[in-house]
Amino acid sequence: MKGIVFTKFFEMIEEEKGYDLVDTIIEEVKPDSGGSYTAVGTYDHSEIVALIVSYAKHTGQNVSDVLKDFGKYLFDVFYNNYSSFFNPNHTAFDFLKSIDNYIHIEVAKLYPDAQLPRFKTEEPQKGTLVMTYVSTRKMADLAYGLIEKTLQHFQEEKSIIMENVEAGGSVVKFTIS
Amino acid sequence: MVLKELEVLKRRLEREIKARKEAERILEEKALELFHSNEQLRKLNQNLEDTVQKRTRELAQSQKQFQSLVESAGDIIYNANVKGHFTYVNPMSEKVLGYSKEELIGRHYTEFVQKKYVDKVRQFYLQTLKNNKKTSYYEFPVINKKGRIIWLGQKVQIEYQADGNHKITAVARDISELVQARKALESSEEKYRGIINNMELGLLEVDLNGKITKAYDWFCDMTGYTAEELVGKDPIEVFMRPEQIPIMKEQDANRKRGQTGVYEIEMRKKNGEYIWVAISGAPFYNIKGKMIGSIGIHLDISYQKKMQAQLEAARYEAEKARKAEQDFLAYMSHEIRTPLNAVVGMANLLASTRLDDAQQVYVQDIKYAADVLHGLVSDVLDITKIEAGEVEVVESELNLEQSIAMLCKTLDYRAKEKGNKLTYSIKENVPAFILADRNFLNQILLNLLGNALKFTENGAIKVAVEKIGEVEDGVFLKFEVSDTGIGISADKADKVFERFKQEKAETQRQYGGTGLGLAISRQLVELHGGRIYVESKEGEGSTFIFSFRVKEVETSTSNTFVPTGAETHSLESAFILVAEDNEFNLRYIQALLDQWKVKYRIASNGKEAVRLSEIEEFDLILMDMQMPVLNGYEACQAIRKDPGNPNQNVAILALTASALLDEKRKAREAEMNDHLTKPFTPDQLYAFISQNLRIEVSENVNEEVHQNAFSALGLPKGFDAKALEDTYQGDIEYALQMITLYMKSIEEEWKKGEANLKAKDYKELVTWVHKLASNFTMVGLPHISEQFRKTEKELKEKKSLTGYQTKIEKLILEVKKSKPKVKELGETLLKAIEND
Ligand code: HEM
Repeated sequence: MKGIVFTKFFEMIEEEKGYDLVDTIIEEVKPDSGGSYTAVGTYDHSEIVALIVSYAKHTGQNVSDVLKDFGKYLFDVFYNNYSSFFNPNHTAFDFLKSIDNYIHIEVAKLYPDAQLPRFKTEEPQKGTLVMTYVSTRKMADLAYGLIEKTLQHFQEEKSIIMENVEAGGSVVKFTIS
Repeated sequence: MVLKELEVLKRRLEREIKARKEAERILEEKALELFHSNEQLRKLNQNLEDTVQKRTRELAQSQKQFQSLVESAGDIIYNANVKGHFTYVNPMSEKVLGYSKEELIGRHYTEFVQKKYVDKVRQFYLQTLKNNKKTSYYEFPVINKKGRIIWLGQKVQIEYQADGNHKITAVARDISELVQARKALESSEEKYRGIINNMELGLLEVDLNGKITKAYDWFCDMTGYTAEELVGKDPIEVFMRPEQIPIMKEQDANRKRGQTGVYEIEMRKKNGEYIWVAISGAPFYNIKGKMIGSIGIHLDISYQKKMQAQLEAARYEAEKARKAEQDFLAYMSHEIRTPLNAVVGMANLLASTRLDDAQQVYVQDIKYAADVLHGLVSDVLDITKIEAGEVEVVESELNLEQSIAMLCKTLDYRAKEKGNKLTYSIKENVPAFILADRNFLNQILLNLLGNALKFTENGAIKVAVEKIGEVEDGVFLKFEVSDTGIGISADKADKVFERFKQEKAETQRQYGGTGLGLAISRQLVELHGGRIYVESKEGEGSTFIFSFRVKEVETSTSNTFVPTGAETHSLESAFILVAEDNEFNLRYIQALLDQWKVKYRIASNGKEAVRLSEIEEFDLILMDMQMPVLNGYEACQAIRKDPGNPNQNVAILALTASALLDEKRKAREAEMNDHLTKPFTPDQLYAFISQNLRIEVSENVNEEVHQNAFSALGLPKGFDAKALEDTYQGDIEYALQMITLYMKSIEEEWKKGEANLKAKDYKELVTWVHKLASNFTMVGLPHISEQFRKTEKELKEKKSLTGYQTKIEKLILEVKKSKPKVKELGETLLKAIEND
């Protein structure tokens, strides 16, 4: 997992609960990497999972909600840092469809060691987008937050139905309509 | 609390520092990575640039090479666009077409193609493009600037392009001469085939597998097939009988080896009939000289074959009839001649005893009747033999004057009986020795003289011989037998030479004879390549003239020095062996030999003859052919084969009874010297013996019994006494004459030799060498003779003078050197004669 995910997660906690909580969960989890993350570095994926679980425990939330919130937070980060990926003429669907065949491809070029999910998109009828998330990291909730924020960003009123295609959560279907 | 806050802060700071250091490390790493990548990229770039440069240089080089190749090529090379407009032409194109580069570029290729070929050529290339063919070859004529037609063989390569602008490269060559030759060949071939076809010769072409590729009209007419029915078929299967197939196969094999051949064979027509054809087959080549099949020319020879078969049958019949006739005659010959011989012989003996006048007349009558009967049988047999072609010319060396003298002597008594004078004259230009068939010449003359005697009374009969011409290896002699007899009427003159034609029917009754004599004479003369005719005036006499070619013999003894004739050679000293089983004949011969005072021994069969010949040495052997125990041929062979037999080389004369069988050849095979047909007159036997005795004496001198007169003289060094003795038989005077003659002519001879050598006259030199070879033997220098003979032989074999210059110079020197030596020899001989 890229360091930017860790630094932005700590940033979100610090903004909402103060640095003490960041310090607490790091002290508690004691990640192998030592807990000092830089955005350009790459760290084991299990560390972010452990940090999120620890944070959820301290705040009394479930992990899924934490991930959704973090997704929303990340969207803004992406929007600010990678504005070039946003085309003003695009609709939310246009943007979502471009993740798999453009944005994540460019991300992979920038960080060759990035581990990115795959999205299969289709529009069974006008105004409905079906996105199928495929990733061994099972972070569909993060995707949910990101999609939710995307719709808000494009100011489009849509509902998101999320269903597991594969029980463990490595393949998840999003129906946006 | 503050402490805790401080601690958190401190940890945060540590984390921040650590994170920064980590970030720096990562960046450093990345930077380094980037540097390496860049470095790699730069190197790669450099490499790429080098390669590109090298490739560019190479390309330029090869392009330059290619360009100069194209420019200097002996072929036309040009590029054209897909439409056919020239975009590039090489100098050869300019040269062949006569237009400049500027005139050609942009023009369309069809503008240069000969008008009547334009459509065909265009069609060809359109098709090539349509089929996406990459390469093609086509031949067509173009017209150059001067208006000359040039045939081009053009190879075109097309590089197909996606945009349709295909690139066309063409290489063309001037093949005018080839086309010309091809056309000439084709037209001449066509012409000849046309001619042959018109000549009613059936032409058939087959490929290498023997399958028909073309059948010409006349062939089809001959066989009844159409060309379509024949093409692709095997002629052997179509036309041949199974048994003929091997012949055909052999011919085919020969033809495949490039041999031509003619053979006759029967061919089956479509309607099942057979025709005979003569096939001359020849291999058939294409213009490249490769054999592509063969062509058979068939000539219908059915008609000829039919005629041939009929002729064959007729000939066979005739042959059979002739054979029957011959067999009959042979039988008759034997049956009549045996008793006749006895009658004639006994009459002859009776005539030589003491008889009163009446008895004398009776005996003459018996003899005459027997002669007539014998003549009849002989003539019939002779003409049969001649007509059957069973007579061959056997040439031997003979002394013409001697032969004629003998003949005249033989007939003299008959001439005198009727009061006729028989004389002969031989012109000086006639060579002394000729090569001719002794028996034939005798028989012709005997016939003509017999006729002359028969029809002349109290007149003159003359034999005259002269040389009337010279040819390469001989002379033409003319013989005339003239009489002052009754003559022949002009209208019958040319009929007298026909069979059974005597001038008048009553002539035969009056004068007797078979009427075959002249027919035989004519046939014999013609057999010698000569001709015979008669000049006559009725009541005044006739002259029979015949001429033929004889070979001249150059013997060591020239004309002037011929040893004397037979008359001077008495038979008295001769010692003869007579082998004869027939008692009558024996008694006849014995009586004659006793008359002539010849000593003899008698053998009654071949075996005894051989036995006697082993004991005593004879001058001559008379040998009857048909004898019991060992016949004449066998006895003769036994004597000839035995080196211990003193008579191994003696003259053996055959006495034969049959005129029909080829006794002469048999006698020759048994190495007999001569033969005499029974019955013979005393004169014939006398001449026969004396002639052969002479030959025997001159050719087979027995060294041991003859004393050598010359060795006793003490000859100067270098001379061969034996050679002189062999030549002159002890006659020193004769030798001296010859030597004097030699001395007189020798200077002239070497000058002649020198002149001939200078003129490089091969023919003259051979003659010269030949002549001198015999000269040297005559002066007792046989070893020099030998040198000349050897050179003569070599020259004749080589047929040229090359390499013999110095050899002949040496021989001339020998001639010069011999002069003082021979002079010395002459003086020695002269002294010997004077002392004598
Ligand atoms: C400008 C837009 C975006 C950028 C630049 C971006 C970039 C990234 C990056 C850097 C990561 C981390 C990968 C790693 O550390 O190995 C990531 C992961 C992820 N992204 Fe995006 N992303 C974008 C938009 C989105 C959106 C709209 C979605 C939602 C559908 C999404 C779904 C995810 C998820 C679920 C992951 C987590 C990894 C996983 O589940 O395998 N991203 N993205």
